[in-house]
Order: sequence, then C-alpha cells, then structure tokens
Amino acid sequence: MLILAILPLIFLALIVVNLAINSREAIVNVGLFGYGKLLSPNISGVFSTNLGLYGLLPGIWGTFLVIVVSMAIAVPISMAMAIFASEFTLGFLGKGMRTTLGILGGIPSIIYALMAGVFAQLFIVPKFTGAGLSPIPPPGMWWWKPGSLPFNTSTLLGGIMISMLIIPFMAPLFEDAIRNVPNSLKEASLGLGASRWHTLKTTTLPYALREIISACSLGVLTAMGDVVIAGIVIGFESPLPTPLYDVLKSTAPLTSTGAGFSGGFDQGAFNATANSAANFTGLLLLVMAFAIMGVTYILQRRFKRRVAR
Amino acid sequence: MKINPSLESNVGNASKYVTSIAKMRGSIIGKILVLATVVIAGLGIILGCLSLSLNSLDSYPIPLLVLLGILMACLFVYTQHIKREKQWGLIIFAGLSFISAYILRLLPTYLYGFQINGIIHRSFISALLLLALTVPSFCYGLYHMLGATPKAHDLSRYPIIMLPIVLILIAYGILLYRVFNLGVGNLSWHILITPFEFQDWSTIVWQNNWPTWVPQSIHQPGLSNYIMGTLLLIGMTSVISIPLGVAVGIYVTERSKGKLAKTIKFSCTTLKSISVFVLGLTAMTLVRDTYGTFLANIFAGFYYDIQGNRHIASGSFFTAALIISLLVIPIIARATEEGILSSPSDLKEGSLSLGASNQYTLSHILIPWALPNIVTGWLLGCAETAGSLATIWFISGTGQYGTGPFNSVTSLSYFIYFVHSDIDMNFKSVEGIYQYSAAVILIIIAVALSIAAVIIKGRLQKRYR
Repeated sequence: MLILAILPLIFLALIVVNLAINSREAIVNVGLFGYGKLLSPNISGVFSTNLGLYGLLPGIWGTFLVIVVSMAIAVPISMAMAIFASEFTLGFLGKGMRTTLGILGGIPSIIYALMAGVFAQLFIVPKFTGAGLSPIPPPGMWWWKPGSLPFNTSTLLGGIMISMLIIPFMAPLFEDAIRNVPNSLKEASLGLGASRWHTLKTTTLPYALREIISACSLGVLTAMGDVVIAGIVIGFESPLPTPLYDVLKSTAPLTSTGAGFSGGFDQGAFNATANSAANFTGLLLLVMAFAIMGVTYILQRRFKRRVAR
Repeated sequence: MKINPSLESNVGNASKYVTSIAKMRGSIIGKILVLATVVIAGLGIILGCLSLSLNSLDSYPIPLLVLLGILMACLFVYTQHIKREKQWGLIIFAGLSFISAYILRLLPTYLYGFQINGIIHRSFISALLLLALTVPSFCYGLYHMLGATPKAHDLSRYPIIMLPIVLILIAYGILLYRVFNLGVGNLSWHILITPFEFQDWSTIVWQNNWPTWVPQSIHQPGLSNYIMGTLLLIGMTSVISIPLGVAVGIYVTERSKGKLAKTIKFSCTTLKSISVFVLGLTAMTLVRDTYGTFLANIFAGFYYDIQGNRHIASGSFFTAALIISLLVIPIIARATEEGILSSPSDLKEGSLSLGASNQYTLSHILIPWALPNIVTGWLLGCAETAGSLATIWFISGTGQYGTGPFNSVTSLSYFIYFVHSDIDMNFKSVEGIYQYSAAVILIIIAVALSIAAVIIKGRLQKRYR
C-alpha cells in the first residue's frame, strides 16, 4: 500500500528534477538577463528559434492578461450559477443546474479551441474589427494592415474560450463553498427578519469567502496551465503588445510560448537550446503555480482568523 | 379623548412607508410609473444583450436611456410627494442615464486610436452602459410591482442572477449547435469502421512485356483508428491509475495521518494544479532520452509500414497512458478519500470489535462502501483522458499503422488538432471534412462519461439519506 501510495510523489519529484536538469543548458548557454536572454522582452518570431532570442517576459505578461480576462468573465458567472443552484433556486431549474454543469464539464478543451471562430464571428468581428467599414485604413491608423485586425486570434478571444472552459469547473466549487456555510448562521440572519438576498450578502458570502478564494486559485491555475486553447486561439510566440493593456493583440502566454520553443510536434526541427528553454519555461510555470498556491494559503489563514473573531 | 391630528397623520404616513408605490390605494400614477419602469428596463436588458453581438441596433439605446432617466426623475418626484422622503439614489440614477445618453451621443460610430489593434464599434460601449443601468432599475421596478415585502426583495433580485446564466448557457448552446450542425452531416457507419490510410508507393508491374514502376496509392479516409485509440488510451490509463489512486486515497485516510500522508496529499494537489504543458514536456523528454536504446520499443513505440519495414514511432500509447494517469490519479484519490470519510464509523467499529483485522475491515467494509465514489472518480478521469491533448501533443502520430499498447499514440482530440493546424496538407485533404464529425464523437464520448458520473453521484446522495 505504501509503495503504491508513494508513487505519485516519486513521479512529481522526477518531473521537477527532469525540468531542472534539462533547463540547465538554457541557463548556461543563453543566460538570464540581457538582450534576448531568458528574462528579457526580446523574442524571435513564430517557430523561428534560429535567431536565438528566448525572452520570456512577453509570455509572463500574456499569462497575466489571460488570467485577468478569463477570471473577469468566469468568476461573476460561476458565482451566479452557484447562487442559483444553492440559494435562489427556481424549482427544478436550480436542481438541474448542477447536472448541467457536470455535463458541460465533460466538454474537452480542444472543442473550445476549435469553435473559437464562432465567437469571433458573433462577438469579435462585429464589435472590434470595424465590420461594415470600408477596407481602406481609417485616418490616423498608420499601423493598420488588412490582416492585422483580431479576426480569429487575440488574447480577448482566448480569454473568453478559457473562461468557458473553467466555468463548469469553478461553479461546483463555489456551490460547495456556499453549501458548507453552517445553516445556523443563515437561520439566525433569516430569523432576525433579513431577506434571503441580504443574508447572502452579509452572512453567507463573507463566511464562504475562504473556500471561494481557494476555488478562485484553482481556476487561476487551470487558466494558467491551459495550453491547447492558448496555442490555437492566441498563438505560440509573440512580442509584448505596444500598449501593454491591449487584449486585442495576441500575446502568447507562457505555456504556448514553451510549446513553441520545444517544437515537439516537428521531429526534424529539434533544437537542443530551444528545447532546454522550453524546460526552463516549464520550471517557471511550476514556480508560479507554487507562488499562487502559497498566496492562497496565506489569504485563507487570514480570512480564517477574521471569521473566528 | 382627542387624538393629536398631527400624530394621526403620522400614523397614516407610516402605513405608507411599508407599502410599495404600486400597491398603494388609488395611486394610479404610481402603478403606471412602476409598470413603465419594468417595461422600459426589460426592453433595455434585451437590447443590451442583443447589442453585444449586433451592430444594427445602434440607434435605439439613446432614446431608451433618455426615457429611463425621465422615468427615474418622475419616480423621485412621486416618492417625495407620497412618502415624504427623498430617495437620492433615484435622482443619481436618472443623472447617470442622462450622462451616458449624452456620452453615447458624442461618440463617433467607430472608435480607434492609442495603437489598439482594433476598431471598436460604439454599440459595444452602449451595450455595456445599457446593461449596467437597466438591470438595477428593472430590479427596482420589480420590487415595487411585487409589493415591496422582503419576499418581493428576494424575487426582484432574480434578474441579476439569471442574466449571466442565460447568456453563458446561450453561448454553450451556440457552440454545441455549431459543432453538431457541421459534424453530423458527414457522419456515417462507414466512416466509423474504416481506418485512415495514406500510402504512396511504387510497384513493378509488367506492361507490354517490360517491367515498369507504377505509382500506387491508398487515400482512405476513416476515423476508426482514432476512436479505437481514444478507447485504448482510456483503458490503459484506467489500468494504471485505479490501483494507484485508490491506494493513495486509502493510505491518506486510513493508514497514516503523519507527515508522509500530508506530503502525498500535497503532491496529488500539485499534480492536479501544475500545467499540463509540463506533463507534455516530460513525456517528450522521456521519448527523446530513450530514443537510441532498447527502451525505445516501449516508450517511443514502433510500427511496420506497408513493405514490412520496422520503424520507431514518436511515442507509444504506454507513455501517453503513464503521463495521463498522473492527471487521473488525483481525481480518483480524492473520490476514494471522500467515500471512505463518508462511511459511518459504526460499521467500521462494529467490524473491528467483532474481531476482524484491519485488512479485513478495509476490504470488506470500507472499500465496498466507497465503491460508488471510486466509480464516479474513475468516470470523471476517463472523461479527462478522452479530452486531454496537451499531454500527448508532442508525442502523437497519425496512428495509421494500428492501435496497440506499443504503437504510435493517437486520439480523437489529437486528430482534431492535427487537421486544424494545417501542418500536413495531405492529411488535411483526405480527412479535413471529418474534423467536426470527430468533434461530435469526442463530445459524445466525454459527455456520456460525465453524465454517467453525474447519475451515479445522484444515486449516491439518495443512499446517504
């Protein structure tokens, strides 16, 4: 039993050691700071690692943008779904919500990546590409090129698709958080004459905040770790966007940048340094995941203390 | 005894405080105002939702916002007249409506600049403003229409909850409808049972008493090897991950509660939350490092081409199952843990007090009790396996030389990606039209597994009650 149970731990240790050993070459040969080094904003174009520019700052910034966009969409919707399924049920509709979420959770991520074009047609093209405008560039847009507008690849579209991936994953966690609030607290609030909405706002949600934060951090980790949607909808390697907040340009997150470095699906284009840089990207992702988990742990402890008082 | 007339009037006013504007006796104006607010705000919500996608409704938001502002101002005056209190929220709301209508009037139809890579249509901003202003006013109108009781307060908050749910369910509906619409047309029994074959070779044929090289080719579209690959991957992953997952779950709950158990639990959480890209990279390294050695037959896989030559592939089903099981083990372990923790302690104590050993109690009491949980976790893990692409992304092949444990790994999700990525145009020319059919089959497999898990979970909850 112990031997079987300890195997996942050994696998995890092997993965981390493997990443560390393989990323050694990139750290030694490419270096960390400076032009085109690992922690710089300079990156060569898509799949052209021959230039030897392995900057990962655009990747880190892209990860941040994707997390912000997907969380801004996913958290309110998941919260509404959780509240609808647990507190504000409408008869059988509220009970069916959980089943619906379980079914939607089975849809694989490649389907969302494949169907991103539908949402580009429905939302991105009418709203952000000047649909109905003549193909001549408008005055003042000197950088505008016919193919440059965000038709099917942009950080916004990738964030929308990733949010659709993580909503069925986050909403049941939120629902569990709301259900785990002791009934005596809710009943005390209701018994003092507060309405259910008021109880939800002042009693249930503040008490459930601790579990809500841990659910959010799981959602952030899932959004950060996704590579299929990020690679297909956003792109593999890209420079920093010129206004940093521009989500309509495609800024590849760290995962798909690493996938582009590794070039794994093309056996002929194997480049030892690039592969090593990909391993360094994996190590960076691991460190970021641990950092997020640590921050969540600290936040949870703080809120635990606050509720106990 | 005379009652102070001012006191009497105060009592009369107090009764007005608790009733709503619309339910007050004889206040036809109040009823009309509240009804108009509900109707206008409801129209505004519908218009805002439609404006998120349509550009042609651009001319409607401004008059609607002005109307809403006028209504809110009227409501402010009326509540002041009836209730003798100034609800400043209403007048602030009216002001916001007028200001946003004025801002929309000033905006040009297309917005661009600041080097933003896009030309933003005005209706996007108007949709956001409309939704932000009409949803609260709709709630306010509903509250007074339903009688201003605490129950009405609850009921009037439903629009805030329902609006995002309806929007996202419509989005999921559109997505699934598009997949099925594009995919079902090409689906047939024939395509499900034929394997994909793409071969170009030459053979010596006697023509006019002379041997000549004649190019031969098989270009046969089919999906059977991808479906079989997905099923094989699910089976092999289950074989690896069920014993490990169950062992982890039992060990963490029953055998040890010390530091080692905590470390194992933490490693499972980490395996679930680290990026799948890291796992894919590990699989690639595993294949690359064993490439020259005899282990390549196991990790990289092999195949025989049509002339009978043996080739080393880029990654075997065994490697893929080994890596994907790292994703599935935490799910099964968590489910086992939940099942064992939910078992009533009376059963376990009864078994132990009657003289049964720990091992006997575990295998005869606890595991049978946790079995439905384990099955649920296993089914969810199977759904995860069917959809997982990132772990096998770097090592997959087209799988046209058969599906066995040590053949080149392939699955439906990799097929969809490979068609989508335009790397191999020959492949796309043969199989391109079946991309959405494969998506339909993949959705059916994954969703069927999820539905089975949901049904078993529902049965489980009934058993506990």
